[in-house]
Amino acid sequence: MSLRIAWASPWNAQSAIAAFSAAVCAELAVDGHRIEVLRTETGEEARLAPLPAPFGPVHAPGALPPDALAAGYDAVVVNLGNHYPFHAGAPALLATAPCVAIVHDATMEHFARAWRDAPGEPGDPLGVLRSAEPMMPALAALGCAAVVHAPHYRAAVENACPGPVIELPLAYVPPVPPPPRPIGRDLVVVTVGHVNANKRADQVIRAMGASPRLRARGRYLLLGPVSPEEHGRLLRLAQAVGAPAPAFSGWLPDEALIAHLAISDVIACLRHPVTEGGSASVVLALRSARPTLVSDTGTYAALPEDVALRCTPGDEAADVLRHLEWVLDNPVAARQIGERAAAWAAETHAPAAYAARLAPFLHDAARSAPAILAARSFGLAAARLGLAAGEPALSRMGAVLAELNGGERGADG
Amino acid sequence: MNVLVLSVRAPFVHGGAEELRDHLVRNLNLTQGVRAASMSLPFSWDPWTRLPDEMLIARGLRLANVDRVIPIKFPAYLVEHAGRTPWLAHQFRQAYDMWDSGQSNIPDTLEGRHVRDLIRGADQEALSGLPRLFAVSQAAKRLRHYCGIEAETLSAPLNDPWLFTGGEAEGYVLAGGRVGGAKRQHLLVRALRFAPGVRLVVAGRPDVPEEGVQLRHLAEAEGVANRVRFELRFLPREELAALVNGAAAVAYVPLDEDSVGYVTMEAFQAGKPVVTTSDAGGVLEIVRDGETGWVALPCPEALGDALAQALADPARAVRRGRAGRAALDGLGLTWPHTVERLLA
Amino acid sequence: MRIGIVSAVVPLRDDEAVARGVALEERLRAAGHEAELVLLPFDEATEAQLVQRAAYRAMLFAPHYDLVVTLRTPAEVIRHGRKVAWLADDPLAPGGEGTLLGRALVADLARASLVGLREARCVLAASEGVAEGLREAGLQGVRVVAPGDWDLVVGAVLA
Repeated sequence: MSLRIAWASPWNAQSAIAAFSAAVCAELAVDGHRIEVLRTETGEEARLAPLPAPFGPVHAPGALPPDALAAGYDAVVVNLGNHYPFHAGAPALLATAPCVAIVHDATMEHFARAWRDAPGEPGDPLGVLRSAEPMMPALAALGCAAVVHAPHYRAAVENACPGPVIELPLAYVPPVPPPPRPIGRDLVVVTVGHVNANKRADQVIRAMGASPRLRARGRYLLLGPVSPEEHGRLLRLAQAVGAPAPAFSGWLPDEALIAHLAISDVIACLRHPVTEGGSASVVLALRSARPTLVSDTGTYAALPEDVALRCTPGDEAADVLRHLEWVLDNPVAARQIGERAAAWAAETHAPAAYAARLAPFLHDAARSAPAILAARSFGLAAARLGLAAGEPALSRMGAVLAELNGGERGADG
Repeated sequence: MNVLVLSVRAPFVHGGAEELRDHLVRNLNLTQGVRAASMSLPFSWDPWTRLPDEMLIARGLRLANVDRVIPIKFPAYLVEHAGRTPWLAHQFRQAYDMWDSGQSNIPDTLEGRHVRDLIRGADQEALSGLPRLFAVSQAAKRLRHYCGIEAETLSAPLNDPWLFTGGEAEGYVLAGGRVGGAKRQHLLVRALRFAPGVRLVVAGRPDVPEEGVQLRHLAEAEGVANRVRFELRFLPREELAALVNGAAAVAYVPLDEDSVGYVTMEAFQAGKPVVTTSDAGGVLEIVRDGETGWVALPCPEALGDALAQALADPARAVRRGRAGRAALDGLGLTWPHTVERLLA
Repeated sequence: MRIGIVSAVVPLRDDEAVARGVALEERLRAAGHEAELVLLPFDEATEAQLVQRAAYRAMLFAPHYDLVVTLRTPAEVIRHGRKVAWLADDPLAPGGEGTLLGRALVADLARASLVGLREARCVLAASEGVAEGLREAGLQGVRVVAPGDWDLVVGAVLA
């Protein structure tokens, strides 16, 4: 059955979630569904040029009234990411329409902080939600169903979301560089993405500084935006431990990214703590067919044993050193890991596979939605009357709703 | 304009609030361009622990095809609608003055106080900031006192004034209105012992049959059964009016009535003085001792004395009755005026 | 017996249900019972369909009435140990076209009505067409009792 889907997401070239959305929407359209994009950016980000959308219209942020969505679409899908300027429009949609939330981040901490700091309006119905802590469960609780991309935060989402939850491997078709060349004089290690403490670049630098071989042959490229503070910190660290000074590219368009990846030998995809749901970065790394270093936690711990080189989360340096020296000593085996990883990632993270599993889930979500919305309506009414969440009257009304939902369908149902 | 009058019901009870509701609808329908109907929602306040459920139920209801809603009781005014113009007969008094006087069905426990506070909070939320809010006099006073909310006082007019023509007194005091605990007909029966020779007619439908039985037993026990005539049933309006018109005086002794009261208005329309008590609430707005009737302390002896005085001097009774009629006329209570205010 | 005749009503519109209720009230009183018509406000256009039904079901009727007769849907969802449903419309009719969400709601509403009707000691249909729809949905023992046939109506209600 062809579904009419409202797909809420950032829709610009700087957003990884936008790239994910574009790929999945394209596959849903191939499967015969009708997609309309609702942009969720705010501020400057709302003025970023939209990605192409050959399958359907792209609506500006706030262009469609949320209360019209339930009547006009078979499903409303809302992408929840950690970068507030990209996802500012998401909470209003979740609060007013029956939505399936795709939860891209396990905590939504940065989103929460930025939302609290953003100027608010008096009488904002989402005022209370702004100060929710932790933020991710508060937003997941507004969904009628949810999608997660890794097992490590599935339980938290299931505890929060009143409807069904499904775990799908993140869909992502990254720009793929040419196959790796044989390792030359330098062992080129890259890290892709916004350079911050979470990416553990300091651990790579420490590893290089602790190994005479790596001090001599290691080169570390950081491919992504970096703040002056972080730039200075990492350079000072390299100097202090005797590691080669890392190089910083700043933000790169896809072409330039591919060019840098083409000369890389190893991808360092470390994270600690892991807050993201599925990781587009690790899919990029695995699809590059280069041996990939991961922190053995969160979504990375769920990778098959033979597709990545694992490091102790929070204390990666020793394992990084060990793995990088192993790559130098075992280039063929290292290449084979990369090839296995690329094949696995291509199949597992294919947008077509994601779309094929998402569509039937939207039917499940729709079946759950009416009862969830009714319960929510009473919850909101109770709150306005001063009844707390644990009030017996509210529980009794919940039991009444469950009773009404408990009958079996008739012969033609 | 479609108008819905929204109230609550106690099963099979038809008293002053129901009369108000029905006459409001009738008079709305008499207004050009208005179509009106009423609905009375089931409301269970016993056990008191159910009260939050009843509030949630009200918030679960939806009103369609209606331009204006006139809710007249708790929790009917919790039903949401953009065009609400409450005309409060009363809030849920067990959370307010009856709580203070220890007569509430809600106990003074942690849980009871929580439920009381929920009701007060809900009233604040529902009644604050409305463009139009009306209340009968005592309800308006309580709303101001307990909630800090101002309502325009709007008393209910007499429904069928043309029936209460007055006439020669036939030597009895009429105790009209619903027969039940708060209306205190038992106090009048007890008072008869202190009003020698006074005949009393108690006419009205008991809230529950047991009330009527107990009243009869009381009259026997007090030794006044030979001076009391009981008409404990629903009385057609004409029959009631005939009893009012033939009374020497009307006795009405409710505990803290919300408003002037239909019994009072019927008496004064017929030019009959009213005997009441000092704790009768809204009745005292128009019944003034020595002017339009007698106001006694709420005990059998004082009340009996007042009853005796009412019959002792027929000319005085007539004068006070006429003064009562003038006082009633001075209130300007008519249905056209009431409807005009409600729909303004 | 104290009998409550309960109907959902769109105010100032659902004349059929009100007329049927008033007529039944008169005849039950004539048969010597205390009977009263209880009208529950209903909005058939709002999205809050389950909410209204839950509100109805949460109301207390059992302490006040010995028997309830429900008329216009969705009054049949009210709780009472001695309930007779007398329907002039089929609340179990399958939904037509619409969005996925809309059809899910229609299914839930039919399920709620089925819960209420299965509790009834007796389900009466005001026409053969309605009776057929109810039987097709799996309800047993549905009888056709048309308004106007008052002896039959009162007999069926009090049986």
